[in-house]
Amino acid sequence: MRSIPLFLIAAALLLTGCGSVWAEARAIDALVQVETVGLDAAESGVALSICAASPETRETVSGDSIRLAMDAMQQRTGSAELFYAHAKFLLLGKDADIPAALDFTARSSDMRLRTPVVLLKNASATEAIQLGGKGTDVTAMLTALREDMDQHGSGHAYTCGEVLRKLSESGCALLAAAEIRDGALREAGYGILKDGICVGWIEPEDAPAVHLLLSLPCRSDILLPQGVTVTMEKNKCSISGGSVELTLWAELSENDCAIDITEDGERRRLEKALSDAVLEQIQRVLALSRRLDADLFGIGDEDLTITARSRITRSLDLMDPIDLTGAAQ
Amino acid sequence: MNEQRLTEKQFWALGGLAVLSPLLRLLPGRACWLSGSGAWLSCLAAMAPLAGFAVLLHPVRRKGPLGPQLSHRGRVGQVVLALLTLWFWIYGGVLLRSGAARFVTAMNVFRGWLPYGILLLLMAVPAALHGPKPLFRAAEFFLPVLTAALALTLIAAVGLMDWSSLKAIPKPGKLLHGAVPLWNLGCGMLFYSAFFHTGEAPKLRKQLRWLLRLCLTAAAICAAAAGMLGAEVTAKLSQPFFVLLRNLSLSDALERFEALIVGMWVLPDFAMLAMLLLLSRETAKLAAKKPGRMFVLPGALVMLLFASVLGKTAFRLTLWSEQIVPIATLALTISVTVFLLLPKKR
Repeated sequence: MRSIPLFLIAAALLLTGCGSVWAEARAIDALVQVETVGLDAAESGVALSICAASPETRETVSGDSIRLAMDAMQQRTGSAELFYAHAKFLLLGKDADIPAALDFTARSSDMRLRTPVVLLKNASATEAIQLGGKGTDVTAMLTALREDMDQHGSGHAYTCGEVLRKLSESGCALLAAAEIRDGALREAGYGILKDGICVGWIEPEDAPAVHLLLSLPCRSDILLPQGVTVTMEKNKCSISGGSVELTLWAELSENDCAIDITEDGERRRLEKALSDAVLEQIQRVLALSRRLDADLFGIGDEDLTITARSRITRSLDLMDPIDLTGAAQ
Repeated sequence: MNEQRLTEKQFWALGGLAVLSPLLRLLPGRACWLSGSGAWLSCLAAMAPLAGFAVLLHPVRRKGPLGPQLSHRGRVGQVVLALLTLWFWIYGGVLLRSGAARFVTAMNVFRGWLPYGILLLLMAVPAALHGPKPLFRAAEFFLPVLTAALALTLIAAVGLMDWSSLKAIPKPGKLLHGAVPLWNLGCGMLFYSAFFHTGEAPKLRKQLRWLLRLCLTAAAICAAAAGMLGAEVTAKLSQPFFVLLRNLSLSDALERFEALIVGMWVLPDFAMLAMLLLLSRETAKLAAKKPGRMFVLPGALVMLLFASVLGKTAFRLTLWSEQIVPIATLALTISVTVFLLLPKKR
């Protein structure tokens, strides 16, 4: 019986923060959950844009700082409290102050470091927030873009925390890039950050090389000079002592030229072509990172020997091309 | 504190629970500040000086609780007991403020420290008035809950860590420098333990096993923070462990559980504060040769008073919790232990 008060105290302690004397408890239906936060440079300092799904909200306000812009946004949007803590994306306009945005995210208890960040290559976040129509908005576009980029190796939306960590460790980092084309958000490879400033871009066609160098899983498609398309299904990259060794596993996914994949010689020629194509991508990315003096892959300044070994492991569903002339019968 | 005998297991449960309060105040931030991404190695390296201190303290512990030993050391012993009493009260004041600061920062509430401090003392004073046994039994109950919460946090962090960040091995000087916060924590807790009377003879093996668990836990916390947030960011954040918590997610199904964990972390604060009040009760009793219970309430008031004069800013509190308290803890624990190792004057 004597332990009952102890249990009660323990139970009460576990409730601290939920409507106690300290916490500003908020009912969930009184919140507007901001899904995408956009930041741009503005004449007055910062332009803050938000996109929320329920109620549908797409607003932009300016302020002398991010915090002041948030206050102004709160006044603009009325009585419901804007809730930034579960934002799905941080969208940075082409002129945004990236270090200030990252510092704010790390400092603010409203935002989280695990929020993925996307940098716009040719537009402002203010423009991007207004994209979409009924039933779709910039958050839906960014979600689809992110999944697509990860799947095809055309980019990876690093979180604010990952970008901060990379910048603090090596002074440079990659940011997933997007651009507005034909009224929609499209992938634009990566922005290269050095000392917090965007100093260059990796084009979407070279972005799979980043996935390869960082051993990130991806299924990127490559059209080989022979006219066949292969899909990389697995890769391994080992970087040590001035050498980069790539091992690629791919499958033949389109064979317009009726190449006989079951023939060893043909397959080796395709594998060689795949290695060459990948090496070319890698050389371009590494040359860019050297030119910008940004050690994105922890390789350093050493002269590199890059080798690639490819294996085409299978042909999707079809092994031999089907003879459509009827001669086989 | 002979009136209620404790088991070794109960004591190390309280030690384990109480140490969680300063552990997350100093680690992983301070260790990453001192030794970068190799902070987790520094925590493992701290085992060597901690084991050294345990070996130094062991012969003193075998003679019995430290309080009575000091009281038999004449006037110097009495002065040391009075100093220790004052130290426990000062440390309690810092603890009240740092616990409240953690709560306020992690929960993002713009309130002062006073409600937290008063609530904590309202819980700790009755516990200290009752003597050690209920507190130690409570620790046996609470420790598994806190351990499970910590383990769950670390497991959730594993998938989000960049393991390559942890490969850097710091130079020996930096490695040892990073071990200082944990060294100070472990020494303090071993020293405080020596004031309690356990029913059985103290065993060095059990102390070393407890220290090893402490070092492994601290190393895991530092590795999770540096691997997930990076050493630089971890070192700069005021409450890195709770920022780590805020960014965790269990398969995207469960997230934002930092409020629950912050709420649970009131328990280590309570355990540490109640322990300090118990210790000051014992040392004040022996120094003033008056019943110990009469010092509990004044002690709590001094803690509250000291907390209120600590300064209004978090920066002043950081100076106390990261510089003054660790240095004073190390100085007191080592000097009093050495003093008790010296032969008595005839």
